[in-house]
This record gives sequence, C-alpha cells and structure tokens, in this order.
Amino acid sequence: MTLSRRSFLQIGGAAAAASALTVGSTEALHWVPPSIQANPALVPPNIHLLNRITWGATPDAIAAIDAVGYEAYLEEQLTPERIDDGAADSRLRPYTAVLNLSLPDLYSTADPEALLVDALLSAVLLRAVHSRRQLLERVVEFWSDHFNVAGEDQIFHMGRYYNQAIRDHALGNFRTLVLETAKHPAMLIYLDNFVNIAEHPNENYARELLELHTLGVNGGYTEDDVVNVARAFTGWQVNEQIPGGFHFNPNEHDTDAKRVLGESLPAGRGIEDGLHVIDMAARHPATAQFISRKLCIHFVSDTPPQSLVNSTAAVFTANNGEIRPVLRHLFNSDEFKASAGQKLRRPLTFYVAAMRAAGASFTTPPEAQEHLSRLGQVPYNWLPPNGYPAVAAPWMTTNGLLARWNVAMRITEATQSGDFTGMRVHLHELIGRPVTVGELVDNVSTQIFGYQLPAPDLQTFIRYASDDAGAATPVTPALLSRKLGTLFGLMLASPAFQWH
Amino acid sequence: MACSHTKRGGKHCTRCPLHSMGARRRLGKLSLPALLSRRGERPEPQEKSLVPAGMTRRSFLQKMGTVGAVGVSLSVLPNWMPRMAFAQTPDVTNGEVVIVVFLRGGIDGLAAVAPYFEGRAYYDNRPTQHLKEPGRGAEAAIDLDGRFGLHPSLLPLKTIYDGGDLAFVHATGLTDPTRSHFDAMMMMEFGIPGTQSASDGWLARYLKATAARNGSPFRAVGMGQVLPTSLMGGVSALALQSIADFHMEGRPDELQRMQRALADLYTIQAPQDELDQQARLAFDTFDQIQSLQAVAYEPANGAAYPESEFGMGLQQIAQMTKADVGLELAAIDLGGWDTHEQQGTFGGTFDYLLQDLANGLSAFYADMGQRMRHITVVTMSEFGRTIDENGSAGTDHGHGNFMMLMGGGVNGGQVYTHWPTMAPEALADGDLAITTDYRDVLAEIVSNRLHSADIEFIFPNFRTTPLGLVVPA
Repeated sequence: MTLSRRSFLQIGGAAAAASALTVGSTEALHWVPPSIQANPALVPPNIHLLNRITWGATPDAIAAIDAVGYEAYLEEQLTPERIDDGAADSRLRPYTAVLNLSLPDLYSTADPEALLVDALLSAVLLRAVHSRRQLLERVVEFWSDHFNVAGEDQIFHMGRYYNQAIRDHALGNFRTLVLETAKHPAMLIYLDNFVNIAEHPNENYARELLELHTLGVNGGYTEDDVVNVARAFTGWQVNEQIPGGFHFNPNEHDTDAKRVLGESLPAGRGIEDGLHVIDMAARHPATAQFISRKLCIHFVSDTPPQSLVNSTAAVFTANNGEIRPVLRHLFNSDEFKASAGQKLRRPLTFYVAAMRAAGASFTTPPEAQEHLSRLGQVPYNWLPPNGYPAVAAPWMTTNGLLARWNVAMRITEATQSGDFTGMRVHLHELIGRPVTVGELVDNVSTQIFGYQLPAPDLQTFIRYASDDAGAATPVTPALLSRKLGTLFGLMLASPAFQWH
Repeated sequence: MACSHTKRGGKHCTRCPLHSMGARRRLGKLSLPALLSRRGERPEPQEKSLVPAGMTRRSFLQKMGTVGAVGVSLSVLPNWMPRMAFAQTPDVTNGEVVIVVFLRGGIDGLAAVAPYFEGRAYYDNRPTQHLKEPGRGAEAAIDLDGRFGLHPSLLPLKTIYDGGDLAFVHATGLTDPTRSHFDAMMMMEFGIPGTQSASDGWLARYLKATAARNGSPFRAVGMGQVLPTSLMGGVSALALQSIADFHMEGRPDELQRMQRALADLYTIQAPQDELDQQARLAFDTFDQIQSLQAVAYEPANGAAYPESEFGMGLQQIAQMTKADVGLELAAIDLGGWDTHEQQGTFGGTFDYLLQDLANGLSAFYADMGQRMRHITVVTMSEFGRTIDENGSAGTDHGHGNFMMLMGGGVNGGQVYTHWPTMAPEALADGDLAITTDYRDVLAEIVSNRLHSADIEFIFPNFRTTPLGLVVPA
C-alpha cells in the first residue's frame, strides 16, 4: 500500500505510523521527498547505488564507480576480501584487539566493561566512515539488527558476537549465521537459552528464532512448534572456561521425541535436535520470503514491491541461503534502480554520511557517543530483540529532527571552532577555489550530494550564504570564515540529506 | 532477558555482570543511551548527592542556569516567522494533566508502605530491611490505616494523604510473572503483559486515540534524553532533557539566518511530508519555549524542589503546566531501586531515594496549589521485591508492589488493596501476589480524568474493573 503524502497527512499519522513500526509490515508507509519524487532522474544511478550500499557517497567513491561502472563496482563490493583495507585496519587495530579478546584476557583488564563498550562503538564508527569495504559494513549492520543482542547481561560476549559471529558470515550463508548466533554465549544469555533445560524449558529463544530470525511472525508456525523448538534447544549452555563459550550439556537435554514444523525429531538425540531445527528453519519457504522482505525494506524501500520480494526470495532459495547472489540480484533489479530517495536515513546512517560528506575523521571516537545519544541510535543499545526499526516512521520525531540539525552544526561548526574535540574537519580543503557564492554553493553541494540539487534548495543556500545579495556575491575570506561551516551544516540538516 | 536468573534468597546473581561485578549499579532509565552513559560509573551509593550520575552539582547547576540564559538570546524568533497557534480544545479535558512517575529498578514496596499488621509473616522474613510497628521509635512506620505504615522518609506525603489528595494501592503491578527488569518495564509501558514487541506504548495509544484534541508540541513530554517506551510509537511526543536545551545550536550571529533557511528548506508554511511536519513542530516549540525561558522560574508557596534530576524534572513539568502551553501528559523517571545488596532501608540508598521521591512530589504539590485540582500523579515500578531479604542485607526481584496516586481528583486518604496476605500459600512464586492489575489504576485515570473512551484500544484484550480511586473530572 502506498499512500500519497496528502492522504497520509489526512490520516494524521496515528494508525498509519503504528503499523509502520512493525518490522516487515506490508503496511509500512513511506514518504518520498517532493524534490526527488518530482525529478526521479535527479539522482544518477551510480550515486543511487552508492547511497544505499555505502555509508554515504563521497567524491572519491563517485569517481571510483564512474571509472568501472555500476555492475563492476557492485561486484567489487560483493567480494570485500579482495579489497585492500589496510588504512582502515590500522585505525581500527586498538579496538579490534579488544573486541577479539578471550574472556579471561578481557576479565583481567582494569575496567573490562568500559573498554569493551568503547571498542564496540569505536569499531563500528571507524569502519563505517573509513572502511573501503562499505557494502560489507552495511550488510553487517543489517544482520546486527536482525540478530540483535543488547543489554548488560551478556556485555562481555558482545565484542566477539558482533565482530566474529556476525561479521565473519555477513556475506556468507544464512544457515551458518543462524547457527553461529544460536550457539554464541551472547545470544544464549540474551534470550535465556542458557537456562533452557529439560526440566524447565524456557521458550524465549525458540520463539524469537521463529518469529524474528527465520520464518517471521506470519510464517505459519504454531505454539506447539515454539514449545518443541524450545525442547530441541535444551542443554545449549554457556561455559566461560572453554574457547567459544558454547557447551552442550546432554544431562539437561530433553531426549524425548519432538515434532517441529511437520517433521519428526526422533527420541534419544542430543545436540542434533537443535541443529535439525536450524536446518529446517533456514530452508523454510517462509524464511526466504521473510529475509528477502527485510533486505528489501533495509536497502530499497519501506514498502518494497512484492515482485522484488518474490524474485529475491527465489534467488535465496535457489542458492540455499547464500547471501551474495541475493544481494547481487537485489541491487541489479529494476525495482531497486527506481527507488532513489525513498529511504529515510536512520540516525546512525545520517551521522556517518554527514561525517563522510564533511571529510571528518575521529580523534577520539568514543566521544561520538554523545552525538549518537542525542540522535537516538547508539549502536548495540536497542534492548528488545527485534533490532532498531528499519522504516522511517518511528524516526520522524520533533526531537530527533532537532538533534539532526544540531549534530550537523556540531560536526561542521563546533569542530571548526574547537568546541568539540572528538573529531577533525578541514572544510576549506573540500571546496576548491570558488569566486562567487553561486560557485561556493555548487561546490559544497557537489561535495555533499554528488548531484545537482533542485533549484529552490540551491536558491535558499545562495540566499543564506550571500545574506540575500545573490549568487554573484564575491567569496571573501571573511565570508568563508563566517559562512563555510554553517553552509555545510545547513546542507547536512536539509531534507535532501535526510532521504537517500 | 535480564536478571531472570537471580534466585530468591540467594546472595546475589553470579552470572550477570549487573551483579557479579560486585557493583551495585543504578538501574536508571534503561533506554538506549543508558548502557553507555552508565559506563565507567562506579558503584557509588547515593549517600552524598542526588545530582545526576556523572555530573557534579556545580556543573549541573551551571548547566541549568547558563545554558538557559544563552537559550533565551538564541531562540528569539524573528518577525517573519509565523506564530503557529496550535489546535487545542481545552474544554475536552478541562486542562487536565497526568504525570506518570516510573520508579525504575523495582522499588521495595514492603519497606516503603509496610504491611506491619502481618506481624511475623512480615518481620520474620525481613530481619533488617523492615519498618518497625508504629510508635516504636525512629525506624517505625507512620500509620496509615491500622494495617499499613509509611516509611518515615515519606513523611512529607502524609499531610497530603491526610488531606485526601493521596492514595496508595498495594499488591498491584504487572501480572506477567517475569522478573526481568527489561521485559517487565517493556510490558508495563506497552500496557500489554506478555508481549515483547508491541509497536507502541500505552500513553502513545492514548495520544493517538485523542489526536484531534490538542496539537501542542508540549502535549506529551518525556523528561529525559529519549522517550520512555510508554510514549513511543508514531506520536509527536517531546523528549525534553531540559527546557533550556530545546533550541538550535550554532553560531549565535548566524542563527536567525540558519533558522530561516531551514524553515524554507522544510517548507514549514506548507508541510509536504511527515518530516516537514516535524520541522514545523520544532519551530512551533522554539516559539513556545521562548516564553518559558523569559523569566527565571520561581516555585510558588515556598516549594523547594530537590536539586536532583528528579526534582529538576518535576520543576520543569510544573513550569510547563503553569505556562499553559498545552501539556497533557508528562513522564518522568526516578531510578536506582535495584537494591540487591545493602539496601539501606534506613540511612542508605533506599532511604535517600525515598527522600528524593517524597521531597520532589511534595514540592510539586505545594508549587501547584489550586492547580492540583486538575493534576493527577501516578507512580509505578516494574515489580516489587522479595518478601525475604537476601544474605547481603538486600532484596531481590519480587512480584506485587505498591502504586501511589496524588491529585485533586484522587479519592485519597486510603490504602486501596485486596490484600492477598503473606501466608505461604497466598504467595505468587514465593512473593507478594498481585490482586489489582496496574492497568485498572491507569485506565481509571484515563477514563475519569482524561475522558477517553478508548480504553480497549489503549489496553488491548483487557477488561477493566472500576476501583473508585479517581473521581470524574
């Protein structure tokens, strides 16, 4: 269902927004910014692809994709292991070292919790801003929401969970992802499977495995299936003394026969019960639909065309849940190519894209926490198991929009003036040598968007930068020192930058 | 999710960092930034100061003062900016205001409003964390009705109780058996026991059901960095850390021009999509907030708010209420009640938190004066605590608890309860049973004070029972 903006405003947001919050809902609404909707050709295909498979199109990335072409660039990004990422790796090294620490080594540090939280946040930001394996990072983000784990209970396992279990398999096979998360201490603790024993089954993980990770809430499973899946996973426990931390305890496993999704699990088995359930769930037709729909919502539109969901699901099934062919199909589809401007950047995407557009780099990444708190999306801090919402509705709040405006100004203005020390920007290096305000606005908008903005927006920026004197106004050092940071900030705060 | 593995009567949980690190952490607002913002916070009991964690009293006061002053000069809107009168029909609710106080962490209702009449069933299980019977010295309960007694630190509320504007409800709460903080808070704030993934909170559903009534950007305000779950889900509720903070940042000499540019870019005179609508609300809020900041706020009737985050939050709610900017719902938290070890019923954490609670609410009551006739304050907590204290002079996650109602429309001066007793066979999994669903208390406020007939939408699949605690406005 696609409502026009007018009819949405008449509804008033109530029922409409409520349904939009359910991830995967077919009722989700979307809003297309008027300027882009009016000119679908405004965003060149290469830049549209970059906007979705990267954390923000930079001039460098645009030059790279223009040099090799759409499909070849996509192929490069689909094989990140072939992309040299040494520069980003060296920035990351202090943090990945912490994330990969074994539990005993982590516990032996002075303040393991602070160390780990800093490393998680720093690594995700540094990778998003600086990694050349941009598509990988966007896909890792997708799975991090899909297999969400957050909260204090399993904090010490979260470094390896996100940095290994999720990241190592993000472009691999879906069944592997389910298995790696199922037996990870982070997930075992988060969804209580570690206390799921034959005598007292705990259904928490079983329910979310079916509802959120595989078949989806409308995937056709029953309450009996939930109970039996829980029984299948009894004895899957945590032992922090062994590498990996996963421990199957046969003494706590329910060895009776079970029936799950129409198949029999014979009596007398052990860990095979859970593995069998993962196999069944991963290759279930409802799972292909559910995962494909979620990918389409994340990468294409809040209301993806059913034709695209179906064709993507077919590729998912034909390739036994291999992720790469699915993404290749999705990004080469006509439906994707026609979707420019339909997604609202979530706060984290907005933040990283703003940093990339302003050429900013972190000096002390953990300080970004304050910005992300204000924006309302601190990575790994969504406590319910369904992950941060992927659709626009829940993010369009007064407070959230004001936070975007203010953070945009913080990045471009406060850093200039030295008020904020967490990052560095050098805006002067990004604008060439404009002679008039008209050229200045062109150069800044090219740096930030990569394409020509609609005339009314450009006129607003020219009026602002010239104090209403017009495009021919000469650019002086005094004008730049007063206007450059705020002009960057305004463009990052503008509606055109919120949508992509 | 959370500490469901905390065992009753055990010393404390050894599995989860929350307890095993030996650090008694403040379980404050458990929302997104909470985990990170509590990072590095050491187990510092709040004996010394009630100023928000991580902030010294000096910097807190400076922040309140100076940022506010800057805010005034920055947020003055130029003449070209349209003054957008918001649609408000105050006759529908008579300007009623409802304030929801969430006591996060699970307050020990058995040490705040003690069932001293239970005798040994109470005292045998609580060798140290109890109130003595009324009249038995400094640590004795203040009698309420011959059965229940108030913690002495809640004394400021006793006058209001005696005056008939304050009632307690006991053996109430969330009927779901979960003892996980996160699950219990989520379910309570969704207003739907048993669910972990609703799309909106109960207050948000109230706002949706009555969206036409009041278009003020201040209609629903959550005091804090982010909205509480109860206010989440597709409504334009305002999360307000402080009134002084809601303004645009940037170069002061460029601010008006930047605002003008943003107003043009978002076409706020004729919003074309939902994002534009939010931009328009933001500008409307700047406009309204300017009048709030024009003068320093002076509480009336000698009311003195505690200099805590809770006290300052209540003061700002008072300020918005008096300014008649359209405030209808306010949500505010007081966290830190997860007292697994060294609870400090007297002279410790629990005691100080109770003082903050009582001093804040009584200051608000005094400050509001006659306006209290149109204000209802309700407190809740995700669960009560164990009947028997543990081996660390603390209490673990329990079940039934108390709620408090304060306001001119409250049928006060009573402890409302269908007391389940503390006899072993009457307990729910070893702890105080719940005989009054917390939704009945909330539903009565919504229908009698806010005049919403949409109770079935606000609390789905729930048949309400009238309690007679809140009289119709």
